[in-house]
Amino acid sequence: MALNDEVAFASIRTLGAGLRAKKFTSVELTEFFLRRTETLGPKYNAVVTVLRAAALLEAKQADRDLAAGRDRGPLHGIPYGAKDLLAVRGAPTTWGAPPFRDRVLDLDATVIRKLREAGAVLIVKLAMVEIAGGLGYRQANASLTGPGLNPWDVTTWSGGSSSGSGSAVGGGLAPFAIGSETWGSILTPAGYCGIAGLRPTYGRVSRHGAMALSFTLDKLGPMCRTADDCGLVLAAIAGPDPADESAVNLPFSYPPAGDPQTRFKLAVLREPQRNPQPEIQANYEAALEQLRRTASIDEIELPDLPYASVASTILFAEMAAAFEGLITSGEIWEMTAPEDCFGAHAAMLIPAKDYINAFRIRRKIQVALDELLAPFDALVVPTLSTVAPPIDRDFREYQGAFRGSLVDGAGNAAGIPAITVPSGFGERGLPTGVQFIGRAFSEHQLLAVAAAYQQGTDWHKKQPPIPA
Amino acid sequence: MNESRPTLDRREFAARVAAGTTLLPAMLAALGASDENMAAGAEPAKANGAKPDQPLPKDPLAEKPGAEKPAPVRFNPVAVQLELLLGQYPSEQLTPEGLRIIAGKLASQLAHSARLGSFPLTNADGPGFVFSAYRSP
Repeated sequence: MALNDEVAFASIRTLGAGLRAKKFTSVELTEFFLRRTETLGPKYNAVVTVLRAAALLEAKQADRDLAAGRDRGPLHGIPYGAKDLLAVRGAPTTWGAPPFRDRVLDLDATVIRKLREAGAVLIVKLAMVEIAGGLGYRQANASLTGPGLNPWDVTTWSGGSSSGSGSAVGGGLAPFAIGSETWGSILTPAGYCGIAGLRPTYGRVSRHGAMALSFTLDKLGPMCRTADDCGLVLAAIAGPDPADESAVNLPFSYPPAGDPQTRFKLAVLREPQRNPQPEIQANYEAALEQLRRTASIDEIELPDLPYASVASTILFAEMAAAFEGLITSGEIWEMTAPEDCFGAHAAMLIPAKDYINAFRIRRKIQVALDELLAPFDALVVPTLSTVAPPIDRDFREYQGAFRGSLVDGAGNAAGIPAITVPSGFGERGLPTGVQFIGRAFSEHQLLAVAAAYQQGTDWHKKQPPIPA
Repeated sequence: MNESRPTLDRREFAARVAAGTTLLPAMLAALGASDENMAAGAEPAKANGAKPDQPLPKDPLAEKPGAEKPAPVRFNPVAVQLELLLGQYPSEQLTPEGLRIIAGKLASQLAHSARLGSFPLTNADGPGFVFSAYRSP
């Protein structure tokens, strides 16, 4: 197989088959993606640090292992990128924020270690919104690497806070990337960039070595070309970790044992997104038509609970505890987005009783959503209510009357998983997505239904234009 | 923020904080303490012309039995929180525009607080987090 655009946008399984068929080596594949990252990455503001030397060493080892019959599995020899909130020994870990521009942490995050053990080759640390967006940014230009630019149109945003992860996979700079989500930071860039993004159940993946924005909301997850690829990556990074007591001891293998699920029971909301853009709604309805070929679809209603208040109070109270030092040290004034200089102050005054009450209500949210979703394989909603905004527009100004769904706050407050896959194109030819949400630890069902949807569509095979 | 309103120089802010001087009236002026800025049930200080940074006047009821009790002094909760914040985290970088942003977030937090506080919880409704004793392996 020639190393061309077809390879740049190939799935992990396709690349793995090419490696094992000796169509190319891991070193050749890694060199190919390094070159794309070095040439195209800056055009998307997607790159913080390219790890060329270390990546080529890892790729050589992967080739040696494969030649010696030591096959580490589906990620063996596959290059990838990691959001720059993950510690990698010897490389800067900036958290997207100017005060940490040159900071080097002397450890490897657990997901980095696990991916290395699975044979994957880390080629790049990817751009992100400063402090994972926890300071309340309202514009794309909120990172030390500049605004994340969308491969489908570099005048639009790639989404946040995993901006570089979205751009890198969307633009064919890496076959997959690791992102993080506290409240929307995997699903949003995945949706805007036309890729698959999986937000695992809280506790499914260890956060050791990742920046803590919100101790009880943060999740790490894969961003890939397909839902199937997300399953492969999740299987490599999931599992318990003595260094992170939130990581649960529940085995996750992919694909699951037994016959693959072919019939599904899905749910939709009466009002899945509040006033979405017309193309978003049209693509969503087309996706439902496609899904009806393999699924029954029932309408359900989200219980009336204070999802946003709970998620917001917990997020900002925990952020205040984690990042008070930015204010007391004066480093807060170095942030890129002006509003991020002031975004943490108010959170310092969230009362303890509000935080605890948020947790008391959070448990009710968890129980209510679990009861609601238990009869179904997934709840289906449009991933976002708009396509990606132009980089020079305030988000709120752009979104205007297009308001997001309650399910994002609800899903993150409850810690339940979700996956987005591309569903077509909307305004200005930008990608749209469809999202599947399930009860806790239902990743297998979500992956199965998303993969079935992708088997019947080809949106994930579309490639963005190469920037000049 | 209404630009025609008087604004407070940020150095003056810092100086007043350092001197322990209360900032409420100045902040209200700097923020244009109006309904548009003070959402979420915030209410500007009023009540018989009393200024919140001054000692409360002697209770007239003590001298005039039977007279109607005056309305209690009410503080703008956003401004009060803002003053507390400035006391804890003083900085010359806290410009009037920055204070306006912070005030907006404080108002939002107060709204969330009210929403959480109005949710019906029983005494038995415990928080959903688990704490366990630690013993190294």
